[in-house]
Formats: sequence, C-alpha cells, structure tokens
Amino acid sequence: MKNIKTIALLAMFTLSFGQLKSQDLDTSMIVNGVCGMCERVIEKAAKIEGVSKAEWDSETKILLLSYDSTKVSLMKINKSVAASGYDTEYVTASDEAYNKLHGCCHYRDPKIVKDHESEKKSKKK
Amino acid sequence: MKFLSILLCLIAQIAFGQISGTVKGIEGNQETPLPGASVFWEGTDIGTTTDAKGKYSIERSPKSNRLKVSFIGFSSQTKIVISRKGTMNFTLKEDGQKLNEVELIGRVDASTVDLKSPELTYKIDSKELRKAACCNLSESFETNASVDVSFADAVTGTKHIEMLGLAGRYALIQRENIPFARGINASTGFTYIPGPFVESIQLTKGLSSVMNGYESITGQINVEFLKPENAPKLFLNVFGNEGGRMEGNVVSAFTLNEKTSSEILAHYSNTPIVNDHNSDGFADMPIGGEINISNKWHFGRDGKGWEGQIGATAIRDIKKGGQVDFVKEQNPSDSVWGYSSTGRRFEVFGKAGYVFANNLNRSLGLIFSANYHDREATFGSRNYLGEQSGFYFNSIFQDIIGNTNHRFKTGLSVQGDDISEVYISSPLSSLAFNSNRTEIVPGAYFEYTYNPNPKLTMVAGLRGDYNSFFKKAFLTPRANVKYDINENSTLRIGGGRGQRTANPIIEHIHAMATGRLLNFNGISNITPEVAWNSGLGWSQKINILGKEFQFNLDGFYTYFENQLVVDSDFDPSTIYFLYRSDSRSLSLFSQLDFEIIKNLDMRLAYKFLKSEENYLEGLRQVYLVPKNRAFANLSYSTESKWKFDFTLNWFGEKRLPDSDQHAANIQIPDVSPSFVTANVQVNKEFKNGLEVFLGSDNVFNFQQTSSPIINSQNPYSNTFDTNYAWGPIFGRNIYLGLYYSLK
Repeated sequence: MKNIKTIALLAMFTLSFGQLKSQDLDTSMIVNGVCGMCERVIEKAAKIEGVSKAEWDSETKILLLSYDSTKVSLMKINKSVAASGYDTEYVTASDEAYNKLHGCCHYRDPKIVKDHESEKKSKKK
Repeated sequence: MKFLSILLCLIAQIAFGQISGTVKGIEGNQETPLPGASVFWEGTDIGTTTDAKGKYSIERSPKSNRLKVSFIGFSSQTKIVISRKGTMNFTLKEDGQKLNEVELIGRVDASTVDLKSPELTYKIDSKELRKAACCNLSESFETNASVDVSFADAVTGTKHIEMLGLAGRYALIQRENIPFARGINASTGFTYIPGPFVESIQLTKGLSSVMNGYESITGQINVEFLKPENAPKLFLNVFGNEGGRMEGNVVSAFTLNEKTSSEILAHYSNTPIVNDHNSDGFADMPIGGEINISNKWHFGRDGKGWEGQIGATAIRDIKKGGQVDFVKEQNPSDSVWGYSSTGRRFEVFGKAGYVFANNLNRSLGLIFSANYHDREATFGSRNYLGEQSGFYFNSIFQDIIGNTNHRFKTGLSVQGDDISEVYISSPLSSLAFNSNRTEIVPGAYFEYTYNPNPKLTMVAGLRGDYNSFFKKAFLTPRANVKYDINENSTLRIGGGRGQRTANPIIEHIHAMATGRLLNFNGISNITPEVAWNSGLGWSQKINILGKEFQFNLDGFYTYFENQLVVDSDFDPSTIYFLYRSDSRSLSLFSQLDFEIIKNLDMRLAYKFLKSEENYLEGLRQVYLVPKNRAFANLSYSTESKWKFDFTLNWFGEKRLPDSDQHAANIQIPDVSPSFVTANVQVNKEFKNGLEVFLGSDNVFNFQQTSSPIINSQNPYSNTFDTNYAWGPIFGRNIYLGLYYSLK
C-alpha cells in the first residue's frame, strides 16, 4: 500500500510539474456537430501539435481543450477544426469542406439535427 | 433544447460579429445569385435582403442560431449557425424539389409535379429519361403514365403519342420553347429528337400559357437539350437491340471564352435487318436510318446585358418497309407492296434575352426560327409529297405592376407556314388530292399573374391573332388558378380555347398504308380545328408512418367546335376525311408515388379515357385508345450506383375500326383484348463517367393475337388495311448500350 501511495504521489507531482513546465492552458469552445462520427473528426482535427486534450460532446457541442500556448494558438486549432468541415465559435468551415462531410454529419441542416435528436430519444427508451 | 439553452447562455456572454455570404438559386443546371432574397434569424425580426449580387451581411443575433433564407419560387433553407462571425452560403433549389432526400438518401426523385407552376406540369429529368434507354422522345414517356405511346400502324414504325385521350397533334411540342413537331414534322417530330440529346422535359397537361401561342389544346411538351455551358466535354451513347436497331449519339461541348460556348450534337441510327416475327409477310419494323446533327452557340451568359444563342439543325431519314420481299430485294416486282419514305429537315433558330441589371423583375426575350421540311413517301402504288417552309417569331416582355404580387407578360408573335401536301395514286391518277396553304399569323398577347400570397396564383391570358389564310382574326382566352390549401395539398383549375389548322394527310399518314379509297370531299373547304379544354387537378402529399406518399388526381374535358375526323368504320373500302363538330374527350388520371423501402420507389397510375369522335355514325370511342389503362413502375437504386427498373403496362380493350362488313375470313373483332407488357432495365454507373445498361422491352414476350393487317395476302385490294396494330408485333426485344461522359 505504501508503495502504491508513493508512486501515485510521485506521478501526480511529475504530472503537475510537467504541466507547469509546458504551460498548458485549459479552455473550451463551441463546435457544431451532430453525431459520433462528428466527434471523431472534430477531436482528431483539434489534436494538432501542442494540443494535449480535445474532448467534444455532441450534446453540449462543447470542445474541451488543453493546449500549449507557446506551441499553438487557439486560432490555429479553430482553423484546423474548420478545415475538417466543422463550424467553430470563431471560424466557419468552407462550403467545400462542409459538403465533403458524410450526409449524416450535415449539422447545419435542421432536419438532420432533428433526425439525430429523435434517434437519441428512441435509444433512451 | 438543453443544448440550445446552454449554447445561447455561452454565446450571449461573448461579443458578436457579422455573418455574411452569398445566396444562389439552382434553375435547371445553373447556379445564379439571387438578389432580393430575404435572410433572417428564425424566431426574431432581425433580417436583411441580398444585394444585386446575391450577397448579404447580417449581425449575429444572440436570440437565434437558425438563419433562414427564402425567395419566391424556391424552397426556403435554414442553416444552424453557431459561429460568432463567418461565412454562410446558401444554394436554394426550385420549389417542388426535395433537397434533403435527393442529397442525403440518394433517392432518385426524377419526375415530380412542379408545385410552383400554376399549370399542371411534370418535370422529367435525365435520370428519369435513362430509365427507358431507347431511343428517341417517343420512348421517353414509357416511364410516365400521362402520355401514351403506340404504333400508328403495322408498317411505318411511326409512334403516336396520346395525351388526355387525344392524339399528339393536339399538344404543342416544343424544342427549347420553339414549336417543333408541327406541320409536316407532326408525324416525325418525336423520332427527330434523339433521347440522349435531352436534358429535361417539361410536360404540361391542359392548356399552357398564351405566350406559347394558340395551338396547344391538350398540353405542352417542352424539351430542353443539353446546354453548351454545362454539357460534358464529350458525351457518347451507343445502343443496340435484338431487332437489329443500332444507334450512336455524340455530344461535344466547348467553351471558347467566358462569354461564348458551343456544342455539337450528332445522332446516327440504323436498322439493317428485316424481322417478321408474326409471319404475315410484312416487316415488323421498317429498315433504314437517320442522321441528325445540331450545332448551338451561346453568347454572353454573365447575367447582364444581352445574352443569346443561335443554332442550326439538319436531319435526314430514310425508311423502307412493307412486304419482306420489297425490303430485301433490289428490284422488287410491282406486285409486291412496299413502303418507302425519305425526310429532310433544316432549321435555324435563335434566342436573345436582355437582362435589366437594375431591375431584375423586368426582362425581354426574343425567339426566332425558320425551317424547311419535306417528306416523300410511297405506300404500294400511292405517292405522297409533303413540303413545308415556315418561320416563327415570338417576343416576351415581363415586368411587375407596382410590386411582385402583380406580374405580366406581353409580346408580339408571328408564325408563317407554307405547306403543301400532294397525294397521287399512280395507276389511277384521277385519285389525287392536293392541299396548298400559305398561312401567316401575326398576333399579340397579354398575360397577367396575380400572386397576392404564396398560396394563391391566378393567371389570366388573352391573345388575338389574325390568320391570313382564313382572313379572320380570332381570340384565345386562357386562365389557370393554383391554390395551396396547405403545404401538402394543391388545387389547380384551368381552361380556355385552342385552335389549329389541320394538315390532313401527314397527321393521318397511317390512312395511306391501306388499300382503301381515300375520300377527301368532306375537307375540300379547309376550316380551323377549334377546341375548348378545361381541367381540375389535385396534388397531395401524405405522410404515413414517416413515409411520404405523393398523390395526384386530375380530370380534363375537351370539347371540339370543329375537328378533322377520319372515319374508317362506315365503308370497309373507303376512309372518309371530314370536318365534324361535337367530338369530346374526358380524361381522368390518378397517380401515386412512394418509397416502399429505402431506395425502392414505386409509381402506380390509373387512367380512364372516354375519348369520342363524332364519326359518320355518331359519337364513338377513338380507334386504339383504351378506355382503361394502368401503369406500375418499380425502381431500385443502390449506393453503389446500380439501378433497376421495372415497368408494367396494362391496356384495357381498345376499339378497332369496324370490320364486320368484310368477308368473314378477314374479319377482326371489334375490340382488342386487354393485355399486359413489361419492360425491365438495369443500369450500372462507374466512377469514370461510364454507365452501361441492359434491358428488355416486352419481357413477357407478348404478341398481338389477331393480325395487325387486314387482308395482308392482297395488299393491292381495296380492303387491305394495316391500321389494326393494337399491341406489340415484335415480341421481346433485348437491348444493351452505354453512356460515357468526359467532364
């Protein structure tokens, strides 16, 4: 038990130390999307160099980010997400990128959004 | 809702910028900016309109994240916007098309009723046209139950169309808004439009706008060819069938500069093989071929000032049919009955339009064409020569009165025809008929459209024309009303007058393919055919268990004040040509379209036709028009671009010309039995622009049970008659072919 505690403490120390060193910032922003497929694409697009965490929730549309502000800017992450076809709070995706998304990911279309909502409801039942 | 409130809370805390973008509309295949479209945040009164270039810019609203764009005549579109600033472009589709289903499920919604149009108009696009791969415009209607196509006789291979229970000559057939299949071209017009040239067809049932003239009675068919600015660089089509018909089409489009593009359309078809599947000694179909070449130029399509197009068409066709010996042998003896025909058509045409850059509701269009057409034909010992020189001019000025609730179209038109028809029976030269007619018809029209709200559209048109041949002026009033009860149901009502001058022989060329005397005494005084048509239509969308059913019901009634009637009942050895009044036709039509399961679409239709002509013995059903007619089409398409299409046609009993006065051994029943034919086709599209198809007409191999020809053993007797073709003569006909487009 003692050993484990020591290791845990050590690990926590190392992690926080590491964090301090690389000056990771935690932030969140809104990215529009509708489904699990969107989630994978958004998170992959957001995880560019310097981003240690990118977690997007399809319900709240919030993308939680941890990134190293010395290596990457928030705008650069926005642009990368937008280039993958998703509108973010600060940058809109181009029509070309948006149109390349799979039909079920067309989050700008209220009908698609409604379809996904009713899908979720029926799953809950 | 949870997401929305969280989102709004978050957004509300931040500063807002502008959302801007461009609004475009798709008309046909072209995207054009839409000026004056309204752009607003749904649920708020914050909105703006687009400028002359279709651009807008709107303040980001904290109250709504749904940006809606609407424009009259187009389906409105909403986009969910979460960004604080940025670009959102909209591309609106014309009303009546279903953006989501087409794009997202890949469903082929290829033939739909145009919900926007005050007239009952079906749009048939190239997807639908490819369901029936062979060959020309007459076959294009095989997957559309509104128009029926059947052989005119058992010799010439000419196909007749029928609309609202009346022959195709009572419909206005236009090629890119220029009258096409009229005069001498009435019987060949459909075969002179190769299917692969066609981009889309608009089929209007009932009377169409007075803008297009006074001639249409049952409807209007307008065919749009592939356009130089968006046709593929190279488009190829080849086709071959079991009967020996071979066909090739090439379309090539090229752009010279931003303002000029051109296109060449070429067609060649040939049937070298003689078939006689029913062993009556007569070829089932004539042999021979057709060459058809068009060249078109489009100028200045940048949305301002003048734009225009000019073009020319040349067509030549040669046919040979009749008794097999006549077709096969170089120098057949005189006792062999043969049919031969050559046709030539030359045409130049053009259009010019002026776009008023600062007033987009105003426009001016000019249309002109000139044509020469001749046809020489021999039927046994009978000779026919038809010749026509014609011209056409129409102008269309459109504007609004005060606001867009009141629109009008007005213009001047002139149509001229110099038509001569000569018929000579060679050994008995006394039996001759000669009809010469030079007719110049200047006219003017005015059409007013009242559109007080999106639900109601009323169109009232009037035109006055003067016919130089009859030395008489006449009025053509027409009106149409469309009312949307709600977003799922639409009612239409319309009616008016139509008038045309008949060209007796070419419109009844099948009467030449007999040995009967032709009696023209009743038409020695030419009078115009005059008819009144009225119609009611109801379109309804029904949602049952999340599935959409589209239901259409319409009824039309046509009454003839004067009609050229051809009577084959009265005397078995004579065919009478007469002008008669009181002919009438009632047509009831219902159609249901729905998706059975994903990508499997079904269309069911039923038609009732009580089409009666006032023959010598009084009102009787028109020959070969079935009273009852049903239709079913199943089409299935897969994500991997396979398409399967199956069509069932059921024809009720058709009345045949009376034959009870003939000798008993050559008599034919008064009515044909009811029968079913089926067509199947499979298409596969590949990524490199190649599409191949394999199909079969009449897959159940149904053949007409009674002889299509009376007294086929004695073709030079006066009872010989080939007008009893009520069903397929050939039987099953397998075909295959391909399309290739190089973008």
